[in-house]
Amino acid sequence: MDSKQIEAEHIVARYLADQLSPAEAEAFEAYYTEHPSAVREIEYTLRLKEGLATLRDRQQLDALMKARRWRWALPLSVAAAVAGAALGTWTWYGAGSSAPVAAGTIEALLENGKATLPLGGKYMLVRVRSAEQVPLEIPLPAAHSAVELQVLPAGGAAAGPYRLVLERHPVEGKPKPVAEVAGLMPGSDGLVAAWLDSERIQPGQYTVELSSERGESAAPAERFVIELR
Amino acid sequence: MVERDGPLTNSRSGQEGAGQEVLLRDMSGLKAQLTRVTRDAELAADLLQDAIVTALQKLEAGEIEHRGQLDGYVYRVALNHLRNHRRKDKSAVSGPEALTELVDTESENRPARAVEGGRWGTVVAQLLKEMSSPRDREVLIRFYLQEEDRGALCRSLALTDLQFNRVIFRARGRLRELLERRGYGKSDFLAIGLALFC
Repeated sequence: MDSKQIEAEHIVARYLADQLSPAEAEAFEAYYTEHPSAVREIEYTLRLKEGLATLRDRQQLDALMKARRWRWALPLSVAAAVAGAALGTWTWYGAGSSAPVAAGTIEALLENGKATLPLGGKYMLVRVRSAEQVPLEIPLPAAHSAVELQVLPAGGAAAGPYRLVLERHPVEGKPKPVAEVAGLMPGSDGLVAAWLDSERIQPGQYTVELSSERGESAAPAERFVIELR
Repeated sequence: MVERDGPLTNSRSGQEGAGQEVLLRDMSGLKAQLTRVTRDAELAADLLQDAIVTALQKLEAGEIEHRGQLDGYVYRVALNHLRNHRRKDKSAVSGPEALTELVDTESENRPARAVEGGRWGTVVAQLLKEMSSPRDREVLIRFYLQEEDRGALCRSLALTDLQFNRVIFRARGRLRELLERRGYGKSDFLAIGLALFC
């Protein structure tokens, strides 16, 4: 167990909630007895829990849930959004619009002013033992929506963060990169996910490459072929 | 106030082996949660003291390599006490009536932790007010207070792991700032001086 895993898997909160397996709890206890910074995180989490419980005791939680955001919180949210971009940044190899073709979250697909984007489909890309790689056919939804691509990386969380690159393969000519999403971390189910904008991506054949940002030594890149129709 | 990053031990009498002071970090969050779970401030203090004594005995016996690890051992022992009490409580609660009784009993003991809980309640209230959306506040409350499973919580709020992580990381970062700004952070790592090897 290391600090990265502790943060990514919310080990402190789950440990205090008694949600870890005995082996996980033991590993975390071994870690924090040797790392004072982890003890500090435990203490802060205990204070957070106590503060929330105090507000519940005083019956103030409901009011706070409904409270309007403080006016000066807007610049904070902008700063947080910039910081959050480090968790899942994207690059769109196109021009003329603020929204990308692919992103690490549905929110990042939204253009200014648009509140939501429905999920139009979810597809897991898996490796198959076959001499010929058969493209996974993905129908693009008729209505504007997001299409989720999931990959179970062989390198697991240890090889994260991952970068997903989408390349279009035209019938004639060279493959053309369409989008790149960086900073992807596997979720609790081990899957790395990225979302495509159904209106911004063109039908056709694409390769999806998922590689560790730590390089091939951490985990070999994995490639899949998809056919958007 | 004594900075935790400073020396952990000081000779107390000046005579070698006669006694030493060991400084531990401020554990008031731990103590408050022990009080909440046991619903008994004296019992909570006893449990914390037992944890400190156990850790000191380990240190004396050479089972703890560095004094910097002492805090961790105290938390380890104390949090095991906390867990055992929680499990005992859960097994004692057999139905909704018993649960109501438990909550009511807890409320009666509120003064015992009013001071510490009060100041953190203020900090956490500020944190909640600053959060960008009611959904984010709900995530924080359901994850940390109601201790809902992360996966189930994400499913019920249609959140991706990345979105969930973002809410939690932002909130924790801001909480850290607020605590440190009010002096409940780095500077309050003082605390308990204890005699060793007497």
